[in-house]
Amino acid sequence: MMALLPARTFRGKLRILVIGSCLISSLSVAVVLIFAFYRELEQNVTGEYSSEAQILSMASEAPLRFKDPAAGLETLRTIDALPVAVGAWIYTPDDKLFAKYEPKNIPDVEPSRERTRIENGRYVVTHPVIQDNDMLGSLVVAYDMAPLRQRLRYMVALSAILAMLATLLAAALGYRLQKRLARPLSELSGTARQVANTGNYSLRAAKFEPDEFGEFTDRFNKMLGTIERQNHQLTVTNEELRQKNAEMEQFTYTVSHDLKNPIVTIKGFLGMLREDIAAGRQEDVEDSIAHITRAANRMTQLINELLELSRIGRVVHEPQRIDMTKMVRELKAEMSEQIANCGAEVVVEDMPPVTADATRVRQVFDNLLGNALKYGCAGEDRTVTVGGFVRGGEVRYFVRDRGPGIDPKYHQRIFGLFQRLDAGAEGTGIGLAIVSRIAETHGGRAWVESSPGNGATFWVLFPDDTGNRQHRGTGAGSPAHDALSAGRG
Amino acid sequence: MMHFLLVEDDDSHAKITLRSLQMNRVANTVDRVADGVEALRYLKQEGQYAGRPRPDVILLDLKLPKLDGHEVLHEIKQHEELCCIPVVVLTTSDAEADRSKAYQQHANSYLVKPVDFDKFRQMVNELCLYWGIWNAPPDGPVEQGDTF
Repeated sequence: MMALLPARTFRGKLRILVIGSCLISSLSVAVVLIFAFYRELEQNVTGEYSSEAQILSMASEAPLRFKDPAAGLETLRTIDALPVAVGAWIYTPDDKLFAKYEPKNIPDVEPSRERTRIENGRYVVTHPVIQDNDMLGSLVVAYDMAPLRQRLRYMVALSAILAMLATLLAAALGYRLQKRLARPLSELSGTARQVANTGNYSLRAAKFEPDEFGEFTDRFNKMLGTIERQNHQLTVTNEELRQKNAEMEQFTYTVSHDLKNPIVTIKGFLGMLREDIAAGRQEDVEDSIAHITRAANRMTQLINELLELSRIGRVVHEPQRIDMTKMVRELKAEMSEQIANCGAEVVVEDMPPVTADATRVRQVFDNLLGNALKYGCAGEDRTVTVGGFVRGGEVRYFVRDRGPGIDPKYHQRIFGLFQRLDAGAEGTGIGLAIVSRIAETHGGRAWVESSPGNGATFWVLFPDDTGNRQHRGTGAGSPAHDALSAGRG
Repeated sequence: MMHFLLVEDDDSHAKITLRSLQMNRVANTVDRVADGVEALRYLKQEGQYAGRPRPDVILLDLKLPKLDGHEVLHEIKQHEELCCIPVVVLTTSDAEADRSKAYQQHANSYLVKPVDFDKFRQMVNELCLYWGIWNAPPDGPVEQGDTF
């Protein structure tokens, strides 16, 4: 079958199939028509010629009975009225020629038992001449077959023309049909090729009709959609993994570097201690021990805070509705000694509640308040304000101090791991990294607004899923809120 | 007399380095600053550092507050006058990325702080010999700085 359909495309095969089947069916119809016509013609001719022969045989009864060949010839002459008869003969019962008329000078034609026969290209009819059951002789009439053949040829030609026209018509119709049938397949094949070549899974094949091809197109497009979504998901996940990997590398690098620092100190001072003891320098011994102790303490603190940092996002407590004002006031009470030591005044404004991990949120404010007391209470104005408000589906809290402020070029850096701005101050440089991480794990963020000499405002934003969107807090009229409204937030 | 500028934020590490320098056979003076911004102010003799001597060698830690060691190194090596001062990176980081970045920024030497004090002191000795004697400029400026 495939050998009969050499075309390489489905469309080509369909075309060959349509034209081929049209041709075969038309030819079959033509052959059947010709055959039927031939049969019809034969029957007509036989009937017609037999009738003529019968009339002539009846007319030949008298000449035969009265043995008058001249009268017989006269009777035979009547064939001149028949257009295709070329000769006629009357024979006696013993097959002797009695009379003949052959205007075309053709050889005599003998009678035979068959009523009709074809002989020497002529149609010959033999008819008995009988009167009162008395066999008087037989009559033979020969007809020219040329007109018959001509009619047959005409019929064949007509059939062939009709078959050709039918084939052409069918081919034209078939061409249109195959075009319509092959179009969805061409579209699907083209789209599949394009997708395979470019890897662009956002392409879709056009659907033409709601038939099997239409359903196939729908399913193909759905499959492309699934691959596209999965691809996108894979790209996003890959990117996330790449970022996580980079973060992890940075984390490992930073951690290894900062954990190594106290070890260098401890071992360095142990070496110095050995020398000092040998030399009896008691004062230096004490100093070395103090350095070693500090380094060991720092190492412990670093490890503890790193563990804490690693727990964020890993250890998740059930989110709960937090009364933020109450929580910060409690924190303030717990830090009262530290507040008193640095002579600060902590103002806690009314704040909207938030739904979040209470332990982590407490850590955020613990760190921010601690930082404000540590770094923001160096000047004359030692007020630290904590407040918050709801804005655009987000809850924003702030901790503001009136300290020396932070140069904008360090605003990003201070939220990084082990980043400290003051070499002299105590601390590991993990606190703000913890704040930032907690905000991010809640779908929010943390940032700072500050400039040298103007204090610093640390902001923490959480998505507002508490349903208290109308809560504006006292922060709505506060300078911080005004600043945010002016676009600084 | 060699004059060093030690850029180090960690007091303990600074003390170990200073002790190693004190015990050194090559006579030296040292000034110490604790962050990158201060280091550049010192080198550019700005503010409180006006009149301070230009160091013969800068000992630079990488992990610094405000401006990290790489940024300081970049600034120094881009500076028309400061670029000729040898910069020895002295850090706890043995990461290849830090080392190659430092050398790309034309650090003259990259030394990882040894954990043992003896090795630390030996390293400082070699450092002084290398930059103070073997590679000292023939008519290099020897300015008097305050001993730390």
